[in-house]
Amino acid sequence: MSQLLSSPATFYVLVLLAFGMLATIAWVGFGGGPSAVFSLQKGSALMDRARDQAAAIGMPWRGWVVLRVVLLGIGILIGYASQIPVIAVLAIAGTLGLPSWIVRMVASRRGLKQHEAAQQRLEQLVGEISRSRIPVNQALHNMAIDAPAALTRILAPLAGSGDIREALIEVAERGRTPEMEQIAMLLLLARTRDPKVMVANIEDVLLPRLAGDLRVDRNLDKLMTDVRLKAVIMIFVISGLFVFLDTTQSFHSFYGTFLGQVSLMVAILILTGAVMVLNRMTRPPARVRWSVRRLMELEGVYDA
Amino acid sequence: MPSFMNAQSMWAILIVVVAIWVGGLWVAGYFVDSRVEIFRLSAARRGLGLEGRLVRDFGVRPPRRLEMRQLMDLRRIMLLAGRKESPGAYLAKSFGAGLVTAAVLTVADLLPIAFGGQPAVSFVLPLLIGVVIMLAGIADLYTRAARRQLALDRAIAEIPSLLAVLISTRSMPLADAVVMIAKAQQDPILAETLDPANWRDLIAACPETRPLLAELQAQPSAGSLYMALGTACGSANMRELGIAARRIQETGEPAKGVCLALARSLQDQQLHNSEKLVVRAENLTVLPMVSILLALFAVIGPAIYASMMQGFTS
Repeated sequence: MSQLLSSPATFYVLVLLAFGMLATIAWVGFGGGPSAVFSLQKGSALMDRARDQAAAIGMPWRGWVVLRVVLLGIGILIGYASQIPVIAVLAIAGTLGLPSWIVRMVASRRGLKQHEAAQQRLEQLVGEISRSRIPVNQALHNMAIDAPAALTRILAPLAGSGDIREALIEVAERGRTPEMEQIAMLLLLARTRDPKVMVANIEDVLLPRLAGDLRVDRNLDKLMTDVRLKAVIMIFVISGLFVFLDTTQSFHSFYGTFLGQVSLMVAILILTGAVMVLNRMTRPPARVRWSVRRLMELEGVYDA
Repeated sequence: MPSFMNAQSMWAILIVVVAIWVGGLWVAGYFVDSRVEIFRLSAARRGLGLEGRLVRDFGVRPPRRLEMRQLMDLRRIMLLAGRKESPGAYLAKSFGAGLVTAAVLTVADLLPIAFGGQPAVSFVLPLLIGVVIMLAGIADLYTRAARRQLALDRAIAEIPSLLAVLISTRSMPLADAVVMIAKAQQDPILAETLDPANWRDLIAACPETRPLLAELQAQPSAGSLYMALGTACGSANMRELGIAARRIQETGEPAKGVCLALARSLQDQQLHNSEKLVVRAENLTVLPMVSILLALFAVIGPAIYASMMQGFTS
């Protein structure tokens, strides 16, 4: 008994228990308390993120969740097949984290295309209202008909015959990007009985704003492509080398030993550390997200 | 006494220490009156500064003494971090967590002695872990405050174009429009900051804005309030919004034009920041190269060492 208690392993188990206890105390004391830990809010934030990611690549969110689960299963299988504990952990972590990482890159490109298409569509809208003097609602309805592929799904609510205000709110909710939310909000706020006022607001405010945002987005897309390319090169070079070495029996047995596991851990830490430093030093500030529905409710209260 | 500790070397060490101390105070701005620093700062902001390339590259900084004083003001930092309890209570929690950790780990470490064994590790380790926990609580506070400052700046950068439309189509007062737009943001930081219950505390906690509190409570003016809040929260964009609001109130300029000018200026800033990030990413090419080399060494080095010492399979 005394031998068991005095072993370093027991000490570290106790350390872990103490940390668990302290983490709980710290969370309750410094964070939001047990309600924040166990509430559904956390789950709903996760689902919101899944919905954002799915929207960013144009997938239904349930399909995206299923894809993530399947990928996780593949990660577990790869880990099991490798028979090397560090690789198993890495495969699982990779299949959990990589999809979001890739989605962010795809989303940036897709968002840029949507944004460019939206700008063109708004220029057409202004031209149409000025030339044909058609009512604003009709012009917004026309904006959704024959919309470019990048905007078809997002602008679909405007093509219907329902309330145009509700349709614009749905456009923002379908787009799930700060840019689409801004466009929907500005259109909702700019809508007046006088089409000239709306045209003036789109020309003076919305279009210059979109042009400026596009320049920023192009820079950020270039930045993200550059950083991701560097990270992918690092990961591929080292993974390729590892796979090549692991085909040799002697190296494979070495990576199965304690020293081999430690050396793999060190290599993984170096790579993940470098990727984290790269991301941290070049991370653009997050764009502000909006609740268009809430803005319209507040506006209704003010008007009343 | 070791041979190098003679009188001459002691003098040399003393001179170096004093020089570092005096140099440190000079860098911190202790030998320059803060009024002179503020004058230099405003001159540099107007492009009249005499500073060299170094200052241009690193940007114009507020007087370091003011920065230091702001950093050490825990009550203000707590308000910026969005925490309502007193600094004493937060410090007690943080230190308490560290002490409990150190105590639990020490007991776990000393437990084997009761059974005739030896402590597993030195008593210094539990103490060190306890200190890390204490410091982590305080570091977390500063990180939250810095994040909220950034989020506030960002939240303000997005609103001028919406303000321009809202004011021109609804004839709404600027202050009401700002509050309405703030409430529509998913991150409630701006709405929380503009809540009277919170802005009073923030302005009262900052020595530079404290004298304005009575005036703001008696006769609230959107421009003065935003400028005071900008100073209290360290938010440049909030100050810019305050300046714009004052222009509208005092000079009678059309609100739409002022808001659009502010929107353009803030968007130019965003563009400039994004360009800086692109250049930084291009300059970081050396990082992946070094990481690949180090990771290669970590993957191959131990294997070669093991093969030289005893063979892979042993």
